[in-house]
Amino acid sequence: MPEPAILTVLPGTDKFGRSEPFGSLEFEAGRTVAIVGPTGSGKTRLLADLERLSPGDSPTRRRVSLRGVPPAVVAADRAVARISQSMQFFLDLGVREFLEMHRDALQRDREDTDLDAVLGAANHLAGEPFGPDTPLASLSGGQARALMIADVMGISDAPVLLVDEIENAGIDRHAALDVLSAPGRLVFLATHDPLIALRADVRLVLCEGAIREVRETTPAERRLAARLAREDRKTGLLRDALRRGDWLA
Amino acid sequence: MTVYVVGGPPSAGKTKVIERALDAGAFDPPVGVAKLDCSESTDLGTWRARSIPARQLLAGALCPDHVLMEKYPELLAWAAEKGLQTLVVETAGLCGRCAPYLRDAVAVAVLDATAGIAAPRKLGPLLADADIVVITRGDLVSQAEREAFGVNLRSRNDRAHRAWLDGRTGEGAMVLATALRTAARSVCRQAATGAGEVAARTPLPQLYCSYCLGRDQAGIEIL
Ligand SMILES: Nc1nc2c(ncn2[C@@H]2O[C@H](COP(=O)(O)OP(=O)(O)OP(=O)(O)O)[C@@H](O)[C@H]2O)c(=O)[nH]1
Ligand SMILES: [Mg+2]
Ligand SMILES: [Zn+2]
Repeated sequence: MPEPAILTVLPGTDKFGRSEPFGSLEFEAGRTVAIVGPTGSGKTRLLADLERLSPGDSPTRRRVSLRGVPPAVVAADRAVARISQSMQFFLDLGVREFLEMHRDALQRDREDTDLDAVLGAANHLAGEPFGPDTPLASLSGGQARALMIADVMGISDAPVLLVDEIENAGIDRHAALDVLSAPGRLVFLATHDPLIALRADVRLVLCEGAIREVRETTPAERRLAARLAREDRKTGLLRDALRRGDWLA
Repeated sequence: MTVYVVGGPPSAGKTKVIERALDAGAFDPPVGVAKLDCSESTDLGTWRARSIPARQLLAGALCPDHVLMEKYPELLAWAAEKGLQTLVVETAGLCGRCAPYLRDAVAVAVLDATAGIAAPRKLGPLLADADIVVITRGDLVSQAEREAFGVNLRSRNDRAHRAWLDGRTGEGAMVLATALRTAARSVCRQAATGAGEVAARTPLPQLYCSYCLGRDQAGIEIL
């Protein structure tokens, strides 16, 4: 077994130049980390530091480093993948052609890369189905986000994934978290959604630009998360019934 | 004085790159900017609003890279007269055959990630001879397209420092500023050991064809 990828964050400063209250933080591949905090608390800045494996010259002065990752992956800027709300597809391709393009650009083995599985995963997340020949340009927002997640999980080799506000992506949040929490991947989720935050292994609480708290999800919180998920599914069923025109009670 | 030549296709984000680098403290003050353009430019307003000495050169029908070579000594004289420590030249580099880079200046190419994953393969010496390649609008394209863009970029220039910069928010500006300063030191060292002449890094195409000189009838054999 190769050594797992480990990402280290050394403290920087908050908006007022005060040092962050930790010695160093280590995150191992396989974990899911939620990033929470009010708007303007520094979630986006933290994602930017992580995305660039910041050497300490960003406004926060945090130092982010990664070990246990092939140097070629880091040198090719492929160690960190991002999936955000502002991203779109610019290529004029069908879905399958797009996946083939990505596979071939990264020189992935054609036999080992199961594009049908990627398509299947994307459809599972999206809810509204789309086919291999659907043009990228005609995907709905949710379908596009679902394809981006499935593509990164199936084809990219990035050990670190950064995902913004998956609750607003128009996809099945639970299915997305199931797909994202894969062995060998370290996932950071910036979120306002308690359900997502509690499904993570640990959460970083941001305040005034700094990582103020690091909370491991407790067993009681995990039980709460399971209960919320059940409620959420019930709400989902009600939503479907509403759409069908049924009586709800 | 340190000179940076920033080239790239129209609207690639060149002005934003320079502004972000400036705000991140990449350049020793006082800084001046010279802009080369084919026809019209609104960039001068950006610099005037920041009280930064700025000059514009219009290339008109000529290749802007040729015009830069021709006028470079004049720009240096202007910069010296203004007492500048840093001169940033924003130009085009779009003819595909030439590059606007000078031997004693840091060469920066600005590319737009939304131009398509094949865009790096379509650029000639503008990309191949750059010290630093800044990629803008990476915030807008999918991870797969970023990765494929990066692969194509490295196939054309593996030596340059690559900096992904969000021109809108400035994310990546600090890393870019560090890269600019590092490149300036190494260009400075090379200039010190070289002949010290002011010359183009990539020899410009020497020939003017009949069409360049104004013929318009199709089908003339050029060579
Ligand atoms: N979303 C996004 N927009 C960007 C980015 N970089 C630049 N822009 C926008 O793109 C537009 C053009 O940027 P400029 O810096 O003026 O481009 P330019 O290359 O100097 O253009 P010319 O000098 O006219 O050739 C501006 O409205 C910028 O706000 C980026 O990384 N992301
Ligand atoms: Mg400009
Ligand atoms: Zn030319």
